[in-house]
Amino acid sequence: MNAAVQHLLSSISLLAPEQPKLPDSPWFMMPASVSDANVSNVDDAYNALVYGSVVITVVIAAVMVYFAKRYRAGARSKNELPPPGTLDHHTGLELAWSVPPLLVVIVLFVWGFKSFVQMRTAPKDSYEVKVQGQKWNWIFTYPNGYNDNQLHVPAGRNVKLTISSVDVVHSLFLPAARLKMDAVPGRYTSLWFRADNPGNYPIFCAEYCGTDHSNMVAELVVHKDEEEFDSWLEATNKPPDDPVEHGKLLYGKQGCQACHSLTGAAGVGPSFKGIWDTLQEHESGPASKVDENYVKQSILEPQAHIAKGFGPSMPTYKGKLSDAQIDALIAFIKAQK
Amino acid sequence: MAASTTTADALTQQIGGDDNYLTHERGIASWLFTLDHKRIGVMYLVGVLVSFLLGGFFALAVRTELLTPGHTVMSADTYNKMFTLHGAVMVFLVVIPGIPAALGNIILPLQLGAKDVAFPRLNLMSFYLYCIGALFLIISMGISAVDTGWTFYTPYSTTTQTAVVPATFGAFILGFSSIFTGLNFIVTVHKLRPPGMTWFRMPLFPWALYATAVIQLLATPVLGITLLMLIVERVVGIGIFDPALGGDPVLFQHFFWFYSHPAVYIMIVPAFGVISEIVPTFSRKRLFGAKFVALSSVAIALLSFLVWGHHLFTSGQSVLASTIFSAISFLIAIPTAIKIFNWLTTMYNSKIHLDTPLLYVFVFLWVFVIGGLTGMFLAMMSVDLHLHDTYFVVAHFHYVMMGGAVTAFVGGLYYWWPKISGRMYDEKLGKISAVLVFLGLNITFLPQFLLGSRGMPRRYYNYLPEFQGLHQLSTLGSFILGLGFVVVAVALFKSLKSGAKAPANPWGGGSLEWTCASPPPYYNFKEAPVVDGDPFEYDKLTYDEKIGGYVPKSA
Repeated sequence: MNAAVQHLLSSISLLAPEQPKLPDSPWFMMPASVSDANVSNVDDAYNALVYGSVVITVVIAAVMVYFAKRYRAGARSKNELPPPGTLDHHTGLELAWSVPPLLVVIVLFVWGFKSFVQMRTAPKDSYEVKVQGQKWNWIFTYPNGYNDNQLHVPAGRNVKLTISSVDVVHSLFLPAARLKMDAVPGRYTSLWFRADNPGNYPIFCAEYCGTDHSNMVAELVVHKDEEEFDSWLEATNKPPDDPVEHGKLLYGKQGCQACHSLTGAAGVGPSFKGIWDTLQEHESGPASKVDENYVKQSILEPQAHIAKGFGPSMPTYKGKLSDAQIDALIAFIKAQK
Repeated sequence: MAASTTTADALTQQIGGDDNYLTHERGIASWLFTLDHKRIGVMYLVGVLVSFLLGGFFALAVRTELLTPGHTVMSADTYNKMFTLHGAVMVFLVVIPGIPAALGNIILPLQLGAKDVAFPRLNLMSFYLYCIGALFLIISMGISAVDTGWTFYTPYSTTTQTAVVPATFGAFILGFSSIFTGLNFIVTVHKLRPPGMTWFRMPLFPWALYATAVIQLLATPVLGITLLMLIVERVVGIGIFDPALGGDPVLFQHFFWFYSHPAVYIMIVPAFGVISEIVPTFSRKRLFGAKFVALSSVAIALLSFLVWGHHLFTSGQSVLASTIFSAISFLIAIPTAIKIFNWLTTMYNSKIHLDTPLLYVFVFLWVFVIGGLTGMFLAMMSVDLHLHDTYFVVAHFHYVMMGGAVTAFVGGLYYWWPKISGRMYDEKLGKISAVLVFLGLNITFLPQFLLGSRGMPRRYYNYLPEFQGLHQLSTLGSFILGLGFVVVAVALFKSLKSGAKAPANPWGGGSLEWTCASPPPYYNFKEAPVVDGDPFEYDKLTYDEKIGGYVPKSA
């Protein structure tokens, strides 16, 4: 599992160095954005709230400290005088601090509402990508059927993500687009954004989902134009001729590496190292030999046999992998001696 | 405010009588089977403080693990259990019962001039349910703990292999403890007020406890049903929340927050009550706009039922539903702002005695203003899409729960400590603890606002290296905060061991609890005191240097 952590982290921190993912200055609070125009409705409101809050907090604290100094009584004594003021009610004052705050919150509400509706209404011409959350990786499926663990989009194009989950609740979080949407099993949710600034940005899972929740990270890659994006999609969609190489690619992209190490270390699932041709013990039922049929069944019906010492964590890949891809994964596992 | 005969009685007892609720009966059985609200309150207090120690240990474990990304001292699974236990213990065993069940049990009947709460046996039962609920939580820790987060979201909670059933059953039982306390307080406030004490002559602490009790009574059953359904789904496999069985996971979130958002006010409204007691007493001045402060507690209690959906802006909830919840959430800002401004105005042109309880009020005001204002960020739908489930939320609710509810609890504990224990505490240690708590709170949680704004999700074991500096600062703060509470413990132990004997009314409070001796006699009041004014008649008291406390002015 640690190898997987390293792998995922390095895949993120080695992103294009000229594009900072987070602001360098502690005084600038929001992270770098995919589109300055598109996130301004959130950033402007956020900044207004920050400045307003700082002013209100400082004023209240200053008044409090001033009163504590100004009206400080000496030690308690028999001759203590009553306080100079006896004001205990003033309708004007109380209205003064009830009505203006009410107006302020109405403005904030309307502001938030308008942006929210816009953020929730995807333009009709959007490029659609399907997203599936599973413990503990994201799979992005492009219109041509190709799927990948990274989200690639062209700059300047509206993108709509249709999100689902195969196991528990996850939440797709794009800090650079100031957006988040839960992946809920049993239903589809969606979000849309437009990226204008080419570069690489982190994608997080924001809804707690178990052991490797914090490693359920992916990458948003914004290509500089449609042309570059199309050529990427075409190139990646062509699998390598060598089945072992193809399997290796799938191993990284389909999330296998999050649970199955190649080092012999047990993760959430058994390691692939030297597993081929061995006799696999199960939590219940007889042991079986790790061969082509066993691997295929484990990929398509992972709950059929649970390897001894492990939990029923793996999602099914039925409908997600073609026969050729399963063959490639079998070849890859076979090669892990 | 009390009739003069009662205060005279109290004085005699204070000077001559040694019989008080602590010494009236002796032996362990006299505590375990007591029906005395003060003793039950003291047992609650011990339970809450022990739980706080436990929850604090989990908090420091979490903060220590976050010193570096990835593995620091524990595995991811252990970390997930640590933050779950921290949340569950702090919410269910510390903050919810903290002010009402511990301080409220002791003080409420005294402030009403009553001999006890309305249903003393129910009160004891509520305490034992608290113990049994806590026991179930501890049993779950012994089996394999829980790793769901205190929110128990399905289907994770119905599929994880950890001990979800004993833990949720514990929370289920704790719910009944809370319901019984609420019921008891509602009847007590309605039926046991002394002659002459109209609603608006009632002190502000009972007002706050009353508002809280309404929420406890109406919201907690929903939590009970929800947790029961979760247990049924997990054990018997009846599909309620799991889509694989035909259920809906978002339904669980609605049910859960239908209780758990009002529960936030179960935690903070009693704190408002404590602050409303301390501010006027230490300013020697009538609480400004007392009626507004009292009614705003009720307004907050009612509004609290209608905002739960603001936890679900990113859940796929419809835009219309989110809009309504956002609007109502914003409304809560108004009664809250009224309270803050009224407390501040009370101090205008007053005579301020800057003792430890008031120092804690200052800490409270600073952190609660920040906690409240950051709530507006989250009520605003567009901004919440970015901040939801990040460290911004973690910082926000710690500013409110820890900074608001817990500092008010500690402030109230110092305020009523002489009454409860009959001993004064070391003022210097008290002030040091307030300063440490103030520093610790802000150093721990201010950086978390930044972390969250920059995109750091909550409940993360591993994180991007860019977040490390702020995480380390936060961890440093948490240890200062821990030290602050150690100083509180030292001050209170020292007081028990060698504190000076407390007078009946060390601070010059105007409510009835200060008219009986410290600690109060077993039956509190020989006869129900007659009330002819409100609890802010400080000009009827004068300081007596011989006994170090306030006594009624001789006519």
